[in-house]
Amino acid sequence: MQIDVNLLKGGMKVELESAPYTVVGVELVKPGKGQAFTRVKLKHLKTQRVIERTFKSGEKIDIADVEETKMRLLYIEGEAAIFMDDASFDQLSIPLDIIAENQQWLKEDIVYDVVLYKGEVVDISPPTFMELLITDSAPGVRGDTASGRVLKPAKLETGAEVQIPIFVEAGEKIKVDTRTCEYVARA
Amino acid sequence: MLAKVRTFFLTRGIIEADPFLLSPYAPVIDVHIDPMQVTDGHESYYLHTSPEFGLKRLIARTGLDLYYLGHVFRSKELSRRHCPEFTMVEWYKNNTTEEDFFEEVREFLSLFIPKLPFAIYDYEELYTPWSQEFSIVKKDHPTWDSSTIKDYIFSEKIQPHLGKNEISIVTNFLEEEAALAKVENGKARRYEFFYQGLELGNGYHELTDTVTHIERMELNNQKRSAMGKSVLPIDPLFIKDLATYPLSEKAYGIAIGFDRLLMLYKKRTSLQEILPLPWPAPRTL
Repeated sequence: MQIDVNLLKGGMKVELESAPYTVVGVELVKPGKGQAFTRVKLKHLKTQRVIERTFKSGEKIDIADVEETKMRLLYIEGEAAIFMDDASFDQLSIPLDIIAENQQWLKEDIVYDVVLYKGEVVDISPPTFMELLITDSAPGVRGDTASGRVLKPAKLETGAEVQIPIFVEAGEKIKVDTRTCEYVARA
Repeated sequence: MLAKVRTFFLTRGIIEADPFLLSPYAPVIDVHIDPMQVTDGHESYYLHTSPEFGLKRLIARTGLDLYYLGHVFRSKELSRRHCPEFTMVEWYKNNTTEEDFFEEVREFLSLFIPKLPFAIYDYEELYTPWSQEFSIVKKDHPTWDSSTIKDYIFSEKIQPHLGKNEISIVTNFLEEEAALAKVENGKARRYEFFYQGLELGNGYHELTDTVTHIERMELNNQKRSAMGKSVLPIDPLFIKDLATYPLSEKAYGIAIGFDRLLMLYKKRTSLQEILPLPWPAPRTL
């Protein structure tokens, strides 16, 4: 199936030169006189590499044969993570190297979006917000705020490293935005 | 700023005109401009993409110098620098010279941006430094025709460099890009004004010959048809008025995007930052 480049929106999955991409940005370029163009930023689904392509407005691009399905992480075993479909109880073993950077958000019993391209897993994405335990962070030092330092590094139970306010300590649970690795609130 | 614009024209004896926004005929027949259509359930109208036909008919009938300050509509144009409904300042001088007309445009632009010198460029010569780019683009986009490649090189390579510490005027376009401008010695006397890589306005030494008008409109309709676009109805009222009351051979006119000038005046980079209300997300049919 194809779609007019003018109708592309962020988040859509398209296929270019037989590789799957997510649309991350669309901009119309219209000179006063003449043809309009659509500049599209695309992120490769597997390598995460971002490329930019310009299309003539009205040109068509292939929609990628991409499916997203929700699966619950059961456990991690060796170099793979084992997920289960809550409805069918089907299990799926996904190699950790495919999960790549998102390994830092893997927690048992959490439901992830599993992205399949032509039936093959290419990526998983964690929930936008997760509640996670701080496993390691230096205690806040009095006077730090006076010097303007209001954040400190912390390590979470899943391995992710985030900046947290100095008044939050190890052993507490926080809500974190997985898109930006940013602290949101105490959970 | 709207008041400043009106004062500018008032002091120059250019009178505000308020033509119809709706017409049963196309407000322009251009390959790359798509007018919006509205219907009341029985009849269908086009919203004007610029007040050009209405203003020219009024000028032809009255001989006055006229301006329009108001909204125009263009389909499928939405970006940081485009809005499907935007404010246009358009005016005509029925009896002037190129030099005097440019000077008036410069005075007008200085309401919003610094008063800078003009530099005039020949459209074709601007491509000279980019002659090798044609084959590069062709390789990446084998289906693009040469006019598409030219537009691409213009918007990606040439335009960003125009209007640095000057107002750049691009002129001497190819005959097929003349739109509603006179053609002299095979060069279209059309003027595009650029500042800081942004197109501000488009002016013409106005075409007066109605036979040529009809030929160009029909040619553009053929091109539209070949591109799979709708064929637009030629406005017989415009043709009739211009044939009956000819425009002066020394008529010049220009259309300038008010919102873009306001954006530059406020030192912003997107129209969304200066529009009185944010443009709503479209609802698809």
